[in-house]
This record gives sequence, structure tokens and C-alpha cells, in this order.
Amino acid sequence: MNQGVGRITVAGLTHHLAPVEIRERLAVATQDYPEMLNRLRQWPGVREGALLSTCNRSEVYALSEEGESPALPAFTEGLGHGMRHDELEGYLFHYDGERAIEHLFAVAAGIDSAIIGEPQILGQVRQAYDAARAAGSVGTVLDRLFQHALEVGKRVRAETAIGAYAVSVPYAAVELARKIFGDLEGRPALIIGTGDMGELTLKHLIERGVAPVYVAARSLERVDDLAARLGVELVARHVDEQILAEVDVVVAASAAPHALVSAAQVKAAMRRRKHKRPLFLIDIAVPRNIDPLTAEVTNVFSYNIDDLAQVVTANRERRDREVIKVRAIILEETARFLAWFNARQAVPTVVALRQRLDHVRAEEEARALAKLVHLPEKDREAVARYGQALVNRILHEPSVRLRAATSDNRYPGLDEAVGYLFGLDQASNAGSSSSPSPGDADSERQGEDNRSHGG
Amino acid sequence: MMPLGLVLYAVGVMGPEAVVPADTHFFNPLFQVHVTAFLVAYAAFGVAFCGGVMYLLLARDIRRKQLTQFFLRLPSLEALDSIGQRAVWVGFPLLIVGLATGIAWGQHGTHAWGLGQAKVLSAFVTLVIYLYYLVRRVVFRWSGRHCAIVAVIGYVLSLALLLAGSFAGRLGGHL
Repeated sequence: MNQGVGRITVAGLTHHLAPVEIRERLAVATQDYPEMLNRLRQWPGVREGALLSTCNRSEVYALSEEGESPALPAFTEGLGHGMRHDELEGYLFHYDGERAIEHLFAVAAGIDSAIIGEPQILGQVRQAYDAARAAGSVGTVLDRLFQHALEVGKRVRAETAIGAYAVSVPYAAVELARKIFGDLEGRPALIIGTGDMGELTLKHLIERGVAPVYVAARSLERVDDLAARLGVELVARHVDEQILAEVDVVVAASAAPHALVSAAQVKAAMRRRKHKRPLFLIDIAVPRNIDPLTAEVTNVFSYNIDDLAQVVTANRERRDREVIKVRAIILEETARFLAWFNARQAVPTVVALRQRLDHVRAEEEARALAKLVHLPEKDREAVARYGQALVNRILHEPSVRLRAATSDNRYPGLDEAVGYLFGLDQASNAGSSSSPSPGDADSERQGEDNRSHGG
Repeated sequence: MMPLGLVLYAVGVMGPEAVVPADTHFFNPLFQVHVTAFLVAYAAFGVAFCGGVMYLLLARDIRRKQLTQFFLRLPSLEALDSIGQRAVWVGFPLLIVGLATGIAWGQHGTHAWGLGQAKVLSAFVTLVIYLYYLVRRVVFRWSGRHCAIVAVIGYVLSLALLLAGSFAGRLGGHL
């Protein structure tokens, strides 16, 4: 994309194109990261590299020289997963430059995930970044890119509601319970049946501090099994008015073909309740275990599986609507990153210009000092400082302007024009030392900045 | 709603008498305590009213299973319930203080502020309303919807009475 500073590319596969059978074969385990990153770093053409592998994606990020991107071959051949290129045909993606930057930002923001806005991905991007740093495979550019991506991830979660709504039935149930009771710490709950969905909902409720938990099951063994699986103490109870009067949350998930909680029972239980607190009934069983008429009882909130699914659908739509806002942030941040990245393009010209003028200064200084042999050492040093200060003053403005103009692409080809005006191309032909590598250019630029401020 | 309550109350208390600023009777500390206590009490009932309205809106949302902006923005039902309860606990003793100082002040001066006056009666009815609220909560351990309804209706009623009392005061003072 940019001459000299290299190009950013990403290649790999995601859940959009590749099914899990393919993804699982290319997933990189955490302990294999250092070795894989090492291979990536040594891959021909790769200046900097990073690896991101989650259950939804396996991706290689690379900063490379101009020309053919090494990210794709590094991904298909370099990671040693044993799959041939043609086997992966149709599953792979490959982005270049701006698109690659946008992609990483979208991944960190959670809008490229299978479940929009899921929170885990930001931690996974951070792990990938930490691993790449530890392995020494990232340099100035990818380091900055990943840090920027983490900032984007945080920003979209702070400024939009992309992760704010529950998008699974158990989470939606927990969110509702929290909207009714606030803090769930120490709230008694009853679970009827030991079905998978009920267990999952209960697990989320327990994570929020719900206790004690009563279980109504067909046998005590089932209660013990569930307690062992959840790692908490459970108390076996029968479904009656007494227990309904005691608990705040009821999760019904049994395979019983009829209602186990009647409206009359709930009405009686509400009268018996010591504190006239609300009661939240969650029925995720099919056929339903809780009489729908319970919803008519005062201070009772009754949700069945369809109600919760409806909440989840609405929440998904809300998250989808947030994606537009997230995309706007990503575009803004991509432009910001590109401005920094493009400004690097000016660095080789700035460095070459400085070397050129330094060369002239050194020549003239030597010539002048040869004629000024009668001067004391102190004055000779003053003459040398004068030459240095003059070069710094002359170079400061053009250096700043060149970088600014390159970062927003105001005057395309300006660096070439500067090169032509000062004969930098001839200078670089004359000596290979005036064609610095980007790493050198960075340190040179800093040195140049310091000198400019000093002068 | 709350600032409106304050304004209405200030109008009610000052009433037509307020046009006589030179009257030193109003600089009596009893009168000042009376006004301050009433102002804060009605502000607190205003908070309980707002908490009640929000509770009812949020509860309606959850009951109808249509989770709108109310659902997303409001705190939990329990938090709203607790706000209402605390506000009444602040307002109720202040209402008693306001009434007592008002009556004491009325007995000392020429400005009749006795039981026979309309606005005093309205304050007593307000006292009964919030006493009912607290008894329901403390003795019968009510919470949630019932309390929210009492807080909302109680505030509207007490404001209406206050206005009526104030007008009655303007028209002739005693009922």
C-alpha cells in the first residue's frame, strides 16, 4: 500500500466462510503460540507478524514488503496444520491495507463475531497481542495496530450498546431477574426439573449470587447429580404453596407433560409471603410447567420460553442496530490509524534529506575550519554548533510539513518532489546507507525531532 | 413534578397574607421551621411519587413483555421501591413537625392556623395518607405495586387538597 513503510495484510478463515470442521483443524492452542509466531516471523517477506486464533477464527496479521503478501501463504503453509492449499479453497479470506485494519478493529469491536457484541473477543485480541509481543514478532506498526484495536474495542463498548443486551434465553432470564430484584445476592430460588436449559439458567443465577437453591426433581439422585455438576449445595423440595411463598425466583424446566405450578397455588403463596415482594416465574419447559394464568396475579412476573425468545430476538435486533454506530467508530479510528501509518511514508525522505544536508554541513564545516586554524578550540566548537543549528532550523519546517502532507495525502508525490529537488535519489545511489530500513527511520525520526526542538 | 409541588406549596403557605411583608409575625422561628419542614416533606413525597410512577411503568413493561426504553434505562423494581419507601420515611416525620410548628405558631399570633382551617385539614389528610402507606409497609410488609400506587395517588391527592385548601383560605379562611 505504501512504498517503504510496507503493507498491512490479514489472511485466514472465520465462521463466515469456514465451518467448524475446518476451523477446529486450524485452531492454534495457546501453548503453541510462541512456536507459530516464531515461524511466522521467519517467513519470507514478513517484517512483523501476529496470530489470532479463537473458536470463530484463525488469522495471520503481517506487515510485509510491497508486492505479493506473505500473509496468505504463511497461513496456509507456514502454520503446519497439515492441510493443503486446495483443501482450504473457498474458506479463506485475505484483506489488504485499509480493509485489513478495519477488519481487526471490527473483530475487536465484536461485530465480526458469530454472536454480535460478545464480550470474550476483546480478551482474546489482547492475548494474541501479548503473545506476539512476548515472541518479539510485532514491531512498531503491528504493536500500534493491536493497541489501537484494543482501544477501539473499549470505545465501542463504552459509547454504544453493542454488548448491553442479553442474546441468549438463560441470560435474558437473568437480566429480567436483575431488573426486578436488582441485586440477586442471597435471593432464594427454586428449580423444577433438572433439564439442560434449566441447569444453564440456574448456573447463571448462581453466578449472580442466588442462594439458597431448592430443587424439585423426580428423585434425590438427580438432585445430587445436579449439585455435583454445579458445585453448590441444593435442597430437595416439593412444589407447594409453602416453597413458592419462600422463594423469589422459580425456574421450571422439567419434562412433565402438564403444569406443575397452578395460578391458585401462586395466589395462595403470594398471600402467605412474609414480605410482599414480587415473584419471578421462568418457565422454559415444553409443554409448559407453569400455568399461564399466574401472570395475572399481582406482583407476579411470569415468562415462558417464547416470551424469553421474543426478548432475545428484540435484543439481537437492538444489537444489530448498534452495529451502524460501531461501524462509524471503526471508520473514524481506521482513518486515525491510517494517518499515523501514512505519515511513516515521509520518514525515509526526511531521513535522507537530513543525511544530505548533514553531509553538506560536514563538508563545509571541514573546509571552513581548515581556514580557521588560528581559532581557539572553544571557538572552533562554536562554528561547528552554528552549522548544526542552521541545518536543524532549515530542516524543521519542511520535515513537519512533509509528514503532515503525507499523513492526509494532501500533495501526492510531494516526497518524490523533495527527493528530486535535493537530489536525494542521486545520494541514495551514491551510498546504500542513505536508504534506511523503517526501524532505523523511526529512530532517526525521533533523533531528528529532538534536534529540531533543541534548535 | 417535584418543583411544581414546591411552588404550589409555597403559594399555599404564603397565600394572600404574603402581600404584607412588614408583618414581623413571619420572622418567628416557629414559622420558619414550619415552612422548611413542609417544603422538604412535600419534596420527599414528590420523590416517592416519581419512584412510584417509574415502578409502575417498568412493572407494566415487564408484565407486557415489551422491553422498551423504560426497561433499559430505569433501575430495578426493588431499587425504585426502596427509593419510594425512604422518601416517605423522610417526608412523614417532617410533615408532623411542619404541622405541629404551624399550629403552635398559629396560636401565638393573629394568623389563625388552627384545625378549622382548610389547609390545616388538607395537611392532616396528607398525614393520614402517608401513615396508611407506612402502616401497610411496616405492619403488613407490603412492597412493590401496591405501595407505588399509594405513593402516586397519595401525592396527587395531597397536592389537590393543598390547592383546594389554599383557595379556600383566600376565599374566607375557615370551612
